[in-house]
Amino acid sequence: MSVIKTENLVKTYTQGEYEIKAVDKVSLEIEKGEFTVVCGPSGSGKTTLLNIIGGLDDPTSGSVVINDKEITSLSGNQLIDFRLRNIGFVFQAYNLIPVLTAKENVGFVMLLQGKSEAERNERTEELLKAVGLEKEMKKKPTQMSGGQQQRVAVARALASKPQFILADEPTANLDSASTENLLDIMAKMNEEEGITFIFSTHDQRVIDRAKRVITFQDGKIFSDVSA
Amino acid sequence: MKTIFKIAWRNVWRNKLRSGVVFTSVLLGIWAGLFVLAISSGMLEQQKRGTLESQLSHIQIHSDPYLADIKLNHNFSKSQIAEIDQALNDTKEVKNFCKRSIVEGTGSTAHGFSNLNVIGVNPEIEQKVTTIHERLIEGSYFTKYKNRPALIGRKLAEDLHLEVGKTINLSFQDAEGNFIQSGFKVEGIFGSPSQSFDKSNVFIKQEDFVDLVAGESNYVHEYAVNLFQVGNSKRIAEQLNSEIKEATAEDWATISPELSFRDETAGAGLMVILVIIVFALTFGIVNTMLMAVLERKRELGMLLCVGMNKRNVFVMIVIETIFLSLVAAPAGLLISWLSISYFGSSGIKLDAVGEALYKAGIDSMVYPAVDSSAYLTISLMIMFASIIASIIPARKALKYNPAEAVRAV
Ligand SMILES: Nc1ncnc2c1ncn2[C@@H]1O[C@H](COP(=O)(O)OP(=O)(O)O)[C@@H](O)[C@H]1O
Ligand SMILES: [Mg+2]
Repeated sequence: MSVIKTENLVKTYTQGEYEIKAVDKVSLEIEKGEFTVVCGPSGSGKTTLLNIIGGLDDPTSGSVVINDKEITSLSGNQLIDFRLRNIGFVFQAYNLIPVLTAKENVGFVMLLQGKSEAERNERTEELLKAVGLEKEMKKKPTQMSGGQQQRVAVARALASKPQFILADEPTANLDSASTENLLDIMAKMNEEEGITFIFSTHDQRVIDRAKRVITFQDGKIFSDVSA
Repeated sequence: MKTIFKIAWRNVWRNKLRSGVVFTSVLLGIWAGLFVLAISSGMLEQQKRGTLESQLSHIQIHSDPYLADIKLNHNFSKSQIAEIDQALNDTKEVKNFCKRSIVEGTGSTAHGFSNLNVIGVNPEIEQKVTTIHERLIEGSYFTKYKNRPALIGRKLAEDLHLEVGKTINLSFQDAEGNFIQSGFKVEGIFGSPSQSFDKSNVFIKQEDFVDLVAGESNYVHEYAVNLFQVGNSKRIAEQLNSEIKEATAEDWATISPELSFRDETAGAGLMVILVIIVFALTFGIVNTMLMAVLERKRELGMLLCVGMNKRNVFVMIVIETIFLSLVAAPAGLLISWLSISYFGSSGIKLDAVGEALYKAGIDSMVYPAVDSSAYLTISLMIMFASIIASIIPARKALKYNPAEAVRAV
């Protein structure tokens, strides 16, 4: 059974008199435990695809089924709740709440899920340890490097025990060492705990680590290669 | 919820300069509002008290014929005086009272003349009820001159070029309609808060009054009554009216409706000032919060993406706005309280406009004072305004579409 299944997904933006097909008839399936990269040049539709899969944006037509659930039919608040319970997000930047510490940031989604304080404490500490930030728990985002912030974002994305993690260009603002470090952590979580990761990137270092590479061009799947 | 409060609270301190501007304007707004309120209600209260103390007292009693037509022979009868004395002595709320003889006449010197009331008083009893003796600018209070002394007001002294020791000619008609004229020596010049009072009243000794009109003693036209509490005036006046015949007791607000009217209209006027101040503050707060919401578009989008629902986002912005508006309020209230207390006891001398105030019947030395309810009122107004102000930015934040918001650069 696939975790994510899209069928004939189309997203068109109208800009003045132009119609831009940001995503053009995309059908794909992603299985549990994948470590998949969506790559392609800037403007090829990667972010749009991830946003639709993540329920952040509505498709113009087509369907998105996650764990047998058609999410395009969910209402606004249902969708928010669905995201909260099923999907972890890591963005390129502005991932964290600036006024909260690393630990508070990670605990925040669990708080929204209504988890007890004891459970939150235990899991945030465990997750921050897993991303190598046990010493940074009390720091605010501005006191951490870009790589550390992204690791907190990964920990935060995992905190809610989601079905999969969507990461839109998570390494775009990182140097090589931080990129490798972040990828190591994510690969390890994928290997050891079977967490499903879907990235978008045009960073070759990320592509090299992927188990499956879907290449986008002009909103269409250009190639889909599994290692 | 606790975390939402925590985030909102910390957000207030994120842009220190911008929040500082809001804090300062809230602080100054509260202070300015309360201080203006205090000055003006201080003035009004003083004016009221001054008028009551120097002329009106709390309750006055006149015979009914006198009220209909102010005439020398519309004085109280002997039996009325006995009845009223009895009634006043039996009323425990009455602090003290005095009896006066009054006739309308003119005062003149070589420099001109003026219409005025000649008031015959018993100096010892009068000074227990009114404060003319405390308001002497020059001279003394019926202690120096044996022969027909008079106390005149500051304005009359100016108009008729009078000084202490000089003579004023008072003339009026006696009970039979005969024209009477007599010279009085100015013993003292008083300054009440009111120019018109100072221009049109001359105090002489009751014995001189009786002597002049050649009438019997106990020639009384007016009772001036002070109570222990001014607030009881209306009730006691009504009570007295049920006990006395062919005479009417009136409380100060009935005698001088403009005095109580001014109390009420000034209150409304000041409310308008407060509303304007709070309105201006609301605009500043809305503007600041809109900027903050716009600036945090990506962050708010991220919160929506990771599972914070719109209601929580709304609540968070509302709370942040309220915090932003209210953080400086205690300091504003404190500064207001300190400055009003300080100037309330030391007074502010409004010399520049002193003469204009005197014409309007107000002392140039102002002691700001406010009811403690004003502090509550302005706090509630700002609280209310902040809730209103929070709606606009919070609604703006709700309009964000998470996908758009995270894309926004
Ligand atoms: N809100 C929008 N309005 C109009 N066009 C948009 C909008 N968002 C994205 N696009 C367009 O859709 C196309 C795909 O964008 P995107 O998914 O961001 O690509 P990528 O993530 O691969 O760089 C681009 O041509 C972009 O200009
Ligand atoms: Mg993109």
